Amino acid sequence: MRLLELTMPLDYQWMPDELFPTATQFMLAPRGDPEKGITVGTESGTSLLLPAQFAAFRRTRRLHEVEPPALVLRETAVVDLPCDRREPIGQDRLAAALADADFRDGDALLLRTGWGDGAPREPGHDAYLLDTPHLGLDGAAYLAETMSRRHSNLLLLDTALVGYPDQHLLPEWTTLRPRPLCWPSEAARAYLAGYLEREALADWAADFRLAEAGVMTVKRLVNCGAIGERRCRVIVAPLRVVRGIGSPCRVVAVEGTPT
Amino acid sequence: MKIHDLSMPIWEGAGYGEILPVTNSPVRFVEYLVYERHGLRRTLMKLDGESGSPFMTPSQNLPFSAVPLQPNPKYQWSLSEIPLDRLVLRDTTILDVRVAPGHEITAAEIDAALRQADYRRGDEVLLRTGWGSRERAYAMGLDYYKQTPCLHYEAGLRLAEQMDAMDSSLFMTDCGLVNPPRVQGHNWFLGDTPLVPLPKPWPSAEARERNIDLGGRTHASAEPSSYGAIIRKAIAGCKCLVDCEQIAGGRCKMIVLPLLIRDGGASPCRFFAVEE
Repeated sequence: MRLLELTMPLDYQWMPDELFPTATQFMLAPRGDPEKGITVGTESGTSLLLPAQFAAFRRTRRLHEVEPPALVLRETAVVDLPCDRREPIGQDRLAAALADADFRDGDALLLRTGWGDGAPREPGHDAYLLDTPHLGLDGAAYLAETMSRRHSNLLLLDTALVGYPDQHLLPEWTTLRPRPLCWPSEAARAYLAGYLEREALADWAADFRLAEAGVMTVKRLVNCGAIGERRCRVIVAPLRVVRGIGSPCRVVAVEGTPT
Repeated sequence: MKIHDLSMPIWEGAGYGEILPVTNSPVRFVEYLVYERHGLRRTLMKLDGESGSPFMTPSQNLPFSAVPLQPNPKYQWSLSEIPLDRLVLRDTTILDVRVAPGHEITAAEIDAALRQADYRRGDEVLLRTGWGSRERAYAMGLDYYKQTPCLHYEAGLRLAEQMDAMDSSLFMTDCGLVNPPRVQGHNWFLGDTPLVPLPKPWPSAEARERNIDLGGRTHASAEPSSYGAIIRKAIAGCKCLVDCEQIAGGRCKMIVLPLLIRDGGASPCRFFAVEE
């Protein structure tokens, strides 16, 4: 049995995923500080999001209702999809990659683009988020349909994002200079006051399409290049938040027979 | 294969964040993207290293202080330094000590449980009292911690000796507190001069005053810490596990996954028991 850490560490000094106003700044504060403890957002670092993140699916299961077999030692097919920076992954590429994968009924799918291993994550870079490969809308629709047909409901990616918010967040927020801080900055509050359902659903259409199919998504995996086999088991361990719709999580791959 | 979830849920106002002045601060959620306005949800979660079922290393105050809770601990790994094979699918023995609410487990009771247990070298240890359950925690609030069974200091010492001798490195329990409530909450919610009404925890004015009085200690009691005895011999101490009755046998394999906080000292954690 071989264990592989696929989790992006939560770094109190700098996180590469705190670009958008929709993100929460990860913080640790020491004893004696008014904010003593841990401050995280729904999607800090490697994170699991449920379909219930969207209002349209708010009556579906929440974090505390996800049964362990859905997340623990789950059989997983590794799908290789080497990508260029900012590449939208479409239906054709996914169909070819899935044809090469050993994808069985009920599997989780792990899409390995290589971004989680080689992308710049040093302090000061925003390229990790801005240049990430991501699912195009046709790719998300294809995956949703294919995964539904194969009774698969867990999708893991080594990309920084699932879809790509190029309708509003990218042109409206990332062009601001100097770059404002993420939530809970005043600038983020001001921006989100006008970022309503229409804008959010336009930006996150690929994520919505997967949620519509009942797919749970885990993004920002790292170290996936270390997985040597075409199949493995994954352990996804989010916080057990009552009625939560998503959470940072720990992800471990298990190769070989769990012993 | 059966997989049981032994993790205490996290919710706003949970008792573990309200009962003590400093060591475990309250769980707070700020919903800043909401269904009715944005069509989706995003939440800022204010937690503590001891929220839910916590995983606490000897140097619990990392990354801000590397000073361990007790001197000369056997292990000094931070959260991001612990090898995965010390956390995943660990052979674990169940030490059953069935006691009444509020009971302080004695060294003799630990000895009796050790004699009954199928305890093998290298095993991790899950001390099961039957107290920890989600329903009880939801219903009892602060009383879940005031009335929890716990370990008397002598029992903590006895268990630590055994764990050291058997090369065990993870201590887990379904007790709400490891130290007796009268020790952990001394002159806060119990003791000679408990505060009435009970103040809010950190960062309330009363908690700040208590922090001044404690001067870096974790509780105000003169009695030694049973948790301190154990943590000297462990990679981590883990409390507040729930629903351990799901484990049918006397052994299981544990998957123990705290958040991967770089150089961190403590974190809420997921605990899964795997039975063949």
